[in-house]
Amino acid sequence: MHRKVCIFLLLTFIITHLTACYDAREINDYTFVTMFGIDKGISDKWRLTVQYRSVSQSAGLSQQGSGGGSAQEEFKYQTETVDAPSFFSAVNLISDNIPRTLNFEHVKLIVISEEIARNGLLGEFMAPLIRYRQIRRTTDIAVIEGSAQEFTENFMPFIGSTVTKTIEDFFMKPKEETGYFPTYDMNNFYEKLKSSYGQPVIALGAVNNSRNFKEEGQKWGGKFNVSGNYYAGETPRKNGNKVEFLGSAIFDGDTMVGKLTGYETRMMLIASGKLPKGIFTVQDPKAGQFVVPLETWQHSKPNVKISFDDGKPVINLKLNLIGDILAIQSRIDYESPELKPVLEHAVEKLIQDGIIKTVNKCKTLNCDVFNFGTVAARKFGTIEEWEKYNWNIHFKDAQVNVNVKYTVRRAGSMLKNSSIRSSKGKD
Amino acid sequence: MTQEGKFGVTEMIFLVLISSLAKVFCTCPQMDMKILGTSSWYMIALSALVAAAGFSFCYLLLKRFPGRNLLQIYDAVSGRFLGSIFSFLLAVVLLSTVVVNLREFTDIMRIYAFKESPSAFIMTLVLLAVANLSFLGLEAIVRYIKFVGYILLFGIVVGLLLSLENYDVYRLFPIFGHGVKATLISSVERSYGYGEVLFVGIFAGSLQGIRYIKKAGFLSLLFSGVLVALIYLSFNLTFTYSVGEELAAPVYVQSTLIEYGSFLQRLEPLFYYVWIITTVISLTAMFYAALFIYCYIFRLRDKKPLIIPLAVITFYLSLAPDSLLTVTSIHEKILRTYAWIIFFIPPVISLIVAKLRKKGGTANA
Repeated sequence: MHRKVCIFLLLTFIITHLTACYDAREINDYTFVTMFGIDKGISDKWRLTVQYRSVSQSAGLSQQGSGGGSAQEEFKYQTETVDAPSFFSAVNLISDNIPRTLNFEHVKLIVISEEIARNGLLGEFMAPLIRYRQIRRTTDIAVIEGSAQEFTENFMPFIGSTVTKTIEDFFMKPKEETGYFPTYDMNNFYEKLKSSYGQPVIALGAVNNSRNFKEEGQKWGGKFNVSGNYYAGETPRKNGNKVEFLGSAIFDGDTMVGKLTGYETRMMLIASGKLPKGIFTVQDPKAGQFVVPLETWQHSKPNVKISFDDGKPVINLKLNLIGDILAIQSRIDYESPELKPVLEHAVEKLIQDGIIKTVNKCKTLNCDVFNFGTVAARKFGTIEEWEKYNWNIHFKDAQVNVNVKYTVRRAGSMLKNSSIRSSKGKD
Repeated sequence: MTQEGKFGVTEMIFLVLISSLAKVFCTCPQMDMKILGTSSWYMIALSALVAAAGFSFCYLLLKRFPGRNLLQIYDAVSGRFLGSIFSFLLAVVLLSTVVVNLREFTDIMRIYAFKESPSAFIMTLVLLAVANLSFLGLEAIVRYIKFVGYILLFGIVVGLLLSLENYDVYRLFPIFGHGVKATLISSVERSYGYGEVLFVGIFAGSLQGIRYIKKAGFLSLLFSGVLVALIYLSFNLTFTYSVGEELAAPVYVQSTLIEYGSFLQRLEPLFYYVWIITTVISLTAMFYAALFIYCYIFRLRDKKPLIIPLAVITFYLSLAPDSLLTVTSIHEKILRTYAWIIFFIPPVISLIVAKLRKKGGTANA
């Protein structure tokens, strides 16, 4: 009898708990924010623009499945902007206008206007945000040239996918293929913000209004230009995605002090070992009007050695890169053992010059965004000694020696380039 | 000797190992990072060595008085009054650890997972599990720990491996953190983290003899030391000292950073299982040990009537601090600094007194 009573009580306890709490929140009680942007406000200190997804059912019935049709779901994205004294007040104000509660657990991207970043307001904004449990530290972050509100409003899914997927793909690609902007998330940014090993750097984004795309004018001709040497929003392109990420914003503490172009960002990433693969285009060493694109890999991690000469850091950076020739416009036989070193030397010089130029730019800004400080810290025994030295002050005095070794490993699908034959004979 | 059922060395190793692990999931890594910076990971390995030295005295004492547990030896060596004081202090430290860990666990759960649930609700559920296991007795507890222990260890190792992408060696430098002196002092203080090894002495009667006591004690310290140091190392490799010292639940935050493309991410719900079960087990072990000691001091044969009252006391003591900050302050300033004295000094004193008074040993065998 006693046993039966116990079982009855236990079952009653379990059943009542399995029905969930009286105050349980269901998924349709929330509106999930996909991204949000922060600008300086006009009616109040901050301007918050949130983008959230709403699901609507289309009128037509799909023909999928054998059991008849079902209403198709369409994802629609809406944005809402509000001026408020703090992020959380803004969230409350927006939540007040919609029948659901705003939820930030699925935010994939936070964009901040350059104005905020330049005025050193990021520390004031980021510190409370990182504490907020709903926002994940793996959320991507970018500084926007112009208005973060405009960027958020223009950020739409690309070719049928969701915004979340679009953001994920956006930030995955540079890691694997291009390296035109850094893919540091909130955790990386926050860590660098409080770090004694270097300074923060984050992606630069903008709305591209095709203002640099010229329909008319003098043709470019045979001049050489390194690819991606633009800031976000300046790429000469038309149509396609309205928004773009290119280059990086450099910070000294929580204040944005400068920016790198897409090309310089690649140099920064390759020097810090964060660009595993990318296509580099080099001017043809024997025929300047042509170019040779090469797919390039880091054969090994950059070798960084740091010593101190009278308190000034001496940084020796050695890079070991390998690559495949993708095309030879001039049809000069760079595959041959005699000419291969000529091409390799040209790539080495391009990358070496690019890195030195980027390092010098960062030295003038007094920002180590190359992670050299992470190696320098090994020379110090205790945190007190390291912080007393203050790497972030001494980086500007550093002497940086760059040595690049490049080896062409393969020549694509061709081992030799035959001449083009015309009525005038061979070229 | 008070009998609590018989079990083997493996069960005892799991009891000590899982109990020591629970602290790692709360504020301990943050606290150690705050005090030591980049040297916290090897400090915790050194503190395992300190705990091993402390346990050696306990072992020598148990060897000198075969067939008795630590509490009986305290009585035999120092007399019932002083022995009871040693035992009582041990019970107080164990129960304080339960109170602090329970409150930390509850508040951190409220921060990250159960924001809407009242603290009392979470505490009640945990204490129900603790009380339920305590009713079943020590043998059932250790066999359950062994049963889930393998799964928990697997979960922890998988978590450490999946975090590999976030590791960076530079975060371990400057290698001496806030200095060698601070590291060495902390390694002594922080040996309290392995104080659970005294379960071997408290429940010595459940093992088969002194040979097994030695094996269980040192092996459990070896495994705990290695695993806790690995978790600390992983934490140090993931966060720089300036960020690591800020986090309320560092190991949890570390699990939220695991992200392999869009396919493998948001794995922290799996981590909850490891965290919750480990905490419940650890709280149960310490709660039961405190209960066991209390019953021994007052010569109470039946522990069951005391389980619910002690759980209620624990519940109210856990609710008493006004905030998580107060709890961590108590943890850091009292438990972390002085608890090792209660764990490891009485066995040393007892051994010295036993030698001086020529108690135990071959004469008493």
